Amino acid sequence: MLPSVRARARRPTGETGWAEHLAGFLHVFGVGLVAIGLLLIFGLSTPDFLSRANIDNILIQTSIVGVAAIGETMVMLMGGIDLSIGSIILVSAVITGALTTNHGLGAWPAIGAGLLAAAGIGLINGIFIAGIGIEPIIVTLGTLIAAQGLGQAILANEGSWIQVTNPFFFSLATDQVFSLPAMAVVMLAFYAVAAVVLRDTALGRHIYAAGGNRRAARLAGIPIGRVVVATYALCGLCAGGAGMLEIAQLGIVSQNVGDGMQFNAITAVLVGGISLSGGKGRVEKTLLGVMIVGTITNFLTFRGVSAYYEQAITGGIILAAVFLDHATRRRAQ
Amino acid sequence: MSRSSRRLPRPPSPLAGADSYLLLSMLVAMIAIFGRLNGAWLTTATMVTAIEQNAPLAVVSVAMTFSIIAGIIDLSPGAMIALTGVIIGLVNQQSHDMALAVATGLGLAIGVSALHGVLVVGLEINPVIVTLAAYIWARGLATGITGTGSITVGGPLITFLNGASLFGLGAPAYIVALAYGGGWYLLNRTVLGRYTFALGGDARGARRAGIRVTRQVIFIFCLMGVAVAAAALISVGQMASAQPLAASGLELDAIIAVIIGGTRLTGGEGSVIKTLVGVAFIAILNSGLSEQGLSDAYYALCKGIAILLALSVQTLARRAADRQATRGRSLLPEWATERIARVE
Amino acid sequence: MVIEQVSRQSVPGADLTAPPILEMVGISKRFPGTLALDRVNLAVRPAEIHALVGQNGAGKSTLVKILAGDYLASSGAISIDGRPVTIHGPRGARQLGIGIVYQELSLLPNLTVAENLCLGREPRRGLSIDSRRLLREATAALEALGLERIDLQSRIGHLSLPTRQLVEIAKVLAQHPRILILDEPTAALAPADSDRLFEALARARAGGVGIIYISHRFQEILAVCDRGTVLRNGRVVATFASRDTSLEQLVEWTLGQKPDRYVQTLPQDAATTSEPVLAVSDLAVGDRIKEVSFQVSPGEIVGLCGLLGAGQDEVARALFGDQPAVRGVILWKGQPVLVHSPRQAKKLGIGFLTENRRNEGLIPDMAVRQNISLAGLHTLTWARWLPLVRRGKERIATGTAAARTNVQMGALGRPIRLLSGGNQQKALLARWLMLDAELFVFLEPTRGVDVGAKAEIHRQLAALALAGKAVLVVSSDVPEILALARRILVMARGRLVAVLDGTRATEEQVLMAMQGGYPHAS
Repeated sequence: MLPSVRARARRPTGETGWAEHLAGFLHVFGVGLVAIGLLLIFGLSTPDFLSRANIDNILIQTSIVGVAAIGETMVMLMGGIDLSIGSIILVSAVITGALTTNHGLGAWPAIGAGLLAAAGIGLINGIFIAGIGIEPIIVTLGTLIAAQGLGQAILANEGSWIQVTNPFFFSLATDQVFSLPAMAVVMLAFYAVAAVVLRDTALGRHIYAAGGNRRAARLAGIPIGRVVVATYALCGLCAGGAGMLEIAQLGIVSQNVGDGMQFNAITAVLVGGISLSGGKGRVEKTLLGVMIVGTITNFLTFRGVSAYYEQAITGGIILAAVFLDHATRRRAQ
Repeated sequence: MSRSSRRLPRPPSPLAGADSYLLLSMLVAMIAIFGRLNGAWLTTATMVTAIEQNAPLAVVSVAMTFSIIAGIIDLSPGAMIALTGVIIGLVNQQSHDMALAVATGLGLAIGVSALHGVLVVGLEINPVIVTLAAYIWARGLATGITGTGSITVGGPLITFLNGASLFGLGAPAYIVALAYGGGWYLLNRTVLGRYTFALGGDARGARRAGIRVTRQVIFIFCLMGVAVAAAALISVGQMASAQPLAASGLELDAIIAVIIGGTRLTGGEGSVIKTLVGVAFIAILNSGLSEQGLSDAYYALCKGIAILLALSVQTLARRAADRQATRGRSLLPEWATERIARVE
Repeated sequence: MVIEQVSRQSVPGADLTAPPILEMVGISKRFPGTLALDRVNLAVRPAEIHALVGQNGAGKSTLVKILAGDYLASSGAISIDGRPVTIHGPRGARQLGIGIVYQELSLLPNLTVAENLCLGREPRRGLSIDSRRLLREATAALEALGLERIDLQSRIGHLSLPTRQLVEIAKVLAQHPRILILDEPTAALAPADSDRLFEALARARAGGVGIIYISHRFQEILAVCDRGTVLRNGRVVATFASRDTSLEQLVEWTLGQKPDRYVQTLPQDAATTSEPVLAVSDLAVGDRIKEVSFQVSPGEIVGLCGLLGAGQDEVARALFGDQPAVRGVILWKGQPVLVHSPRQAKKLGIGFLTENRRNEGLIPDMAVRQNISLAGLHTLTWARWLPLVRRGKERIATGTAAARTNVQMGALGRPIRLLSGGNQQKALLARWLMLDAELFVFLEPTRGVDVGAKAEIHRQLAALALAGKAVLVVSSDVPEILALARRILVMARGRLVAVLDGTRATEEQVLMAMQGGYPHAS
């Protein structure tokens, strides 16, 4: 990757003016402020935007990307990238949907199988990357294609689309827990677990270390290979979780499930402020990134903007977010 | 000048370049297998179709080679091809002036690419992010403009692109040949090509050597812009219309083609010819698999597995060759450069 | 021998009344907090090889950076050929005909030798590179140094360090500088290669080039250079003509004292009688370092030193698994072990600290506390089956370790990159203390650390020894080694050439031992 080339004029240490302090503050809390700001602006300008129904809508829509983005966050914190998430979502959704609808398995065993398959694909990613030594972008591209094929093949066997009738998924989509949609609660639970894993487990610390300074991490005795494999497996697992939520939301497993989801996830991570080089950032920021993108998308739909222009705007959002992040980081240091 | 007493080079390891030979043999094997499975497949007509169908991919892959050698990953070509095509179609529709339309499309493609270059060098934003944004917004814009439909494009240029044929090959094939010839020359014989390698090997060192990195990066991005414009033209010509969903996933295929061809993702080395082999690999793979009458699903599965296998073989061969070439010699360890630099 | 001929020859056309090709008058360089150069005068005549001598930190590199255009002098004047000049950045330096052979080579590893030799100045024919002319120029550049045997088509990345250095020198010479500066050029070269270099320098000198030669190898300086300037603490303490100067004189000038003064050693345990925790026998690293044998026992500090390239770094790194191509026997507490990776070293109980904090020690954005606990997380979890870190236990463990090394308290929660160099070093030390490592390997432990922290780190090293740890310190700071170590192992050219008693050796003895084993010994 093209490294930073320009010689930087270093500010002599100790000299911090108000500009630096402001930049530092914005760098850390900016994302949260943007999220709140957006909600206010949208809510005030459009009636019914902040209605109960719409908020529930936003939460449900974002929960799928939200869960997928957790895995992507972990991988990116470690300094890697995973482009295969979309296909993993498809595979897990297909397997679970098929097992529970056409093969009479209960919801939980089917979910277990789907998650296992998802984690398995992630494991394969990790093995190619750490074991053989191929770069993550290319490996996950290959898995993206292969897993997509796998998912479509199984789906075709099951009749090209599966109407999932298991009541579990129906209730997952419609129930309310603590007056929040169940799917959103699931997403929040995933985030809570992820936050704990990243902050307080050896694996989590190792992920940060591997992303922050891989050489130093290796010298400190961290088994980099194992960390890489585990991280990609976890990413797969999260994608699997997203697949389950996808089943709940759509009620049908079809060919398009998960399509392009990896780019949504990466967008959310970037908007949340976690950099591509890794080593720094909390997973909660990704949650904010997910909410921001989801809110903007919802707002645009609410206003009747064409779905395609939404995409265009999302792309613009990434650039704006990265630019701001970059600008504030420079000044803050 | 006598070359007879060469004592100091690393003795050409028998495994050097092994990964290229392996790729070629895999390619040949693949052709043989497909030919075996379906006798009617291995004809000139199939090969020609394969070239024509993959012409946009081939052209973009040349530019992608430059990018990857320089250490830049560009995710924008596919979406930009669609957008450029749509703009060409739109302008043509409104003004009935094909020349104007093409000029506008070219301007757009190069302009956006130059902008990418400026963002990467000027603001130091990671190229993956900048081009990922384009991947999203350009596609969105293209589909937003046309809705779900497409814009029909006609005229003499289209007929030419579509129908003209010289020695059985259409215009796209010649454009591809031109792209590879020109690309090879640019990369291997000119200063701009040389500096592309320098940039990929050690950007800081390149700057210290007096190479103007800003110009070089923008040049590489603009090269992609030109390739995108050409590919858009071919694509529009072949379908006689501008499709907003054209070239979907093409950049990913281009990256795969370049990497399978043998150029390293870490940058600093590579070759246009190798990319050609990589493109051929993908083209033959596509053609052969679809000839098998596989459903899209199994097709994707086989393609993905084939790619992973090819990459694994290539990486393992490369590691073995590297180990062989540097065996026993205490080469410059990572830490030594820092150490040396610190001593006053 | 080549060198004798080179320096004794009178240079035809040498005109002692000609103005110096380079003259620096009253050069001072101020940095916030330090005066790096204090009214330094330097005059290099045309067709002269002029030595620049001084300890690390004496100001040599600052002076070179000024000539290179990287720094602007705070005061003073520079003139070339009698005309006053200002050097505007590296490009300006090049335009003025100043060529510098750095130690951090400016070669691009993925390009070939030929491509590197002409990088930035490729001969063109229209749009394309004139490869025939390029090859000719590249060949000529190599021939000037007698390096025809280097294959122009091989990539720099595949060449060994000595070969790369030679190519680097050829590259700079090919630009025909009028003033040539060489920074420790023979550090990694074999005698044959050094001879080749000296021949080339002689040829350049005959052409009227003024050469500044920086080296720690005094015999070499006396043999190769015509005159020289000695720096100490940023000031010129002497200029000399090699003909009239002796080795001892040079040593005295650089040290600033009579060479036979003792240096105090820190109080340590009385002679240890315990079994050595580490015994190395016939250690070989790569193809240059061989037959190294030594022991380290609990409670003692062993110093390892040598000139740049003598092999002490490789040997130390081999001990914690950071060095490929290691052969020989390593006994840990009497048992033969293989240390192939840092992870293995950690499990044995070997900790280390290098001077490369930023690359090899810190996880920069991670909190200090977490940096400290990073290597020992397995000791802080609730249970095997619940691998969560116990925050409370972590606070206590890291707090204790940090207190032992005196890391600035209250800083434990902040990202470690915000700490001063000294505190960073202490935090990294705390990391290994937390693991109860038994052998500590230090590489340049006080490099880049301010004076106050330096003394503190020395105290902590002594405390480690008192606590029964085995300590191996690699340092190029000889007074530091003398102050710390009970035994001093001196390496030269890949071999262990001397073992000195740290309590009785003098700085001069150590320096002489480091010089020993090099050619041109008088």
